[in-house]
Amino acid sequence: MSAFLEVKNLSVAFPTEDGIVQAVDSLSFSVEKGKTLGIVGESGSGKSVTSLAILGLQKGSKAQVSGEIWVDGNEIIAASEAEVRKLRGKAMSMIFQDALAALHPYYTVGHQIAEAYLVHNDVSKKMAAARAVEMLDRVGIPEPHKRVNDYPHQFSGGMRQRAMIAMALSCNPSLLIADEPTTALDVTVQAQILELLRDLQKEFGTAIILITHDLGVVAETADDILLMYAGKQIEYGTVRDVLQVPQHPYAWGLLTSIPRLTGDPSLALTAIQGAPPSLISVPSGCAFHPRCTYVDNVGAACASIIPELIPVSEGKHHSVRCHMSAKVREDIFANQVKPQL
Amino acid sequence: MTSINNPILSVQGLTKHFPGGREGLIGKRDVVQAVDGVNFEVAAGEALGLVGESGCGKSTTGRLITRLLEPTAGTVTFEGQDISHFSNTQMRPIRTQLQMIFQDPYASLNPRHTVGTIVSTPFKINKVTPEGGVKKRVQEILEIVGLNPEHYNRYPHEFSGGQRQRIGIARALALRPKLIVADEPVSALDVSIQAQIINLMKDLQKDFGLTFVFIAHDLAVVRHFAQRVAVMYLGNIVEIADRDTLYATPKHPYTKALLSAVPEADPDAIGARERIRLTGDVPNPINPPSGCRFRTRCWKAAEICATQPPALLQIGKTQVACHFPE
Repeated sequence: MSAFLEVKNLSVAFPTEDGIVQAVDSLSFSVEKGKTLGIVGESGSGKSVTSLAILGLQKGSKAQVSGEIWVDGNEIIAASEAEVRKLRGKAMSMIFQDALAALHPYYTVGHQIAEAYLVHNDVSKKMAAARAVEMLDRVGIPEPHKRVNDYPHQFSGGMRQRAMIAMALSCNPSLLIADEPTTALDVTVQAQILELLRDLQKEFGTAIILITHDLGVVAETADDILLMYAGKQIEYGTVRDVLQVPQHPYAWGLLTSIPRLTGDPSLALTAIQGAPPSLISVPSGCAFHPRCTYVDNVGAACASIIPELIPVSEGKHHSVRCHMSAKVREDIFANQVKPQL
Repeated sequence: MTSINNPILSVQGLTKHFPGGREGLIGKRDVVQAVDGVNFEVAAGEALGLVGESGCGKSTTGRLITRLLEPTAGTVTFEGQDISHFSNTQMRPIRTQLQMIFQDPYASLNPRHTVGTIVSTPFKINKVTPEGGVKKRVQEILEIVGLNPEHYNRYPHEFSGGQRQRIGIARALALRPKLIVADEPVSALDVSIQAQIINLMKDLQKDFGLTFVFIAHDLAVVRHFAQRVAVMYLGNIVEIADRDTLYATPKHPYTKALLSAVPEADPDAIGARERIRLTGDVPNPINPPSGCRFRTRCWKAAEICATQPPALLQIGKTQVACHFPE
């Protein structure tokens, strides 16, 4: 059985004046209905470019997209703009990070929610307007029949994000891509929005791709994690596996460097040295090797050969891109990383 | 209220109201009550964390302390001097002791100035000539904050976000101030860089005996930096305590809710924690709720909460402003 969304060897490159920027490099993953995949990475790691490629939003731009993207049996990359357009909004839709920028300031919230519904369904304007009220109610906006006529600036940040979710879900899409949906929000409101997404997913069986830099958000909402660095997937597996027995030194670095609510706060955080690379001059070999503490365990290969994505153990849905042997990784994790978590 | 012996900074009844929009052409102007009667003290060498959600007045408080804003009422006392209404000229000598680190390392550095110019500006403005000359001193500071002193002549755009924040820290350190107000210094940075900057600021605090007022919305970040933490909500301080007490036994319902909303990167911890879900959003500071400002979102709210604003009272090791503390 194939999954609802299947991405195979996706690569996206942008020709620029300074050379070709390989924003995403041979990415493969899948998401089943009713499941959530968290794509985690720092700025410039290719998370957002991946989501735009799935929605087919790079058509007509200079981006060079290759590989295969299957959404519910439809291939996106080779499809025409008109074909993708039919899927967009109905089969798949997206929630953006900045709701104030994504909503049009001249139109009422209700108008914007009804618009997508009108395009994809054979309904009257009246029915579409009623649908907008229904959706606002569903995402927990108080007095939806009144607020439907408000403009985006009359909504608070949390309400705008809810309105965006209402818009994205108005046609009952089977795939929802949420690009940093809570980054601009306060923690108490973030908790509300994440809970809303979970409830709606349970009800409609939506497949969700959650793009974030926050490992805490992923831990609470996702089933699988795809960890990206400089355009490549460097670790992929279930939330439990990746967060509890992480394999890649970058994953170790992230987990030990985030401040937590538990543990001894007087100890210094174990920071990852250096900064994420520019995609114009990605380091040779493993892109993480200039920042990796454990290069000495391998030798020259790290700087010259790009490591393959290999399963951590036979038949397991947990893979990693690292030259260290499974035994060495296991030892380092048990003796040096685990005590810090 | 417990008072600290010889606090370096003391804030009493600090209030800042901003003029808001007006109804019609001749209507009365709305008043945004950004900060409303805030009291706290900071001891020399300590780091006080100021946490709260957007619009709670934490940044305004920081700007009032550094006197980038003038308070509407109340006092800011720095080293025994009431600086609440000092003029710019009067503030100049104070500013050598009182510096600020800003949130956005892209907006807070002039793109047309070199790093050398940026970090040496405090010397020029205050007409200070350090021993060995300005350039030598600037290069020393660059080295202290982990930048290459040879980058003296480079421009901000040649640096990454984390490095830019180091430049901002270098500028704040230039005059060897006693107190630094850091307003969300790591929230604009990538996760892997945040730890570097937190560690750097911790080292500086230790090495130079600096006092910090650390403003942040991230409770986990504050926990790793501040020894004492004050929680703000809609212009008021609702709870203030030493770090361990506040995180282990939060007394104010809002602090409790805030702590329980922080997502944790540990799949096992998720089921184990008590969940409190606040409903609704933070109310508008133009028209804050009567009595306790948190009551509209509080599950404990009773009649008294709507009529009487709770005072900040000492309970055990905590000061808390609540009619029904935990």
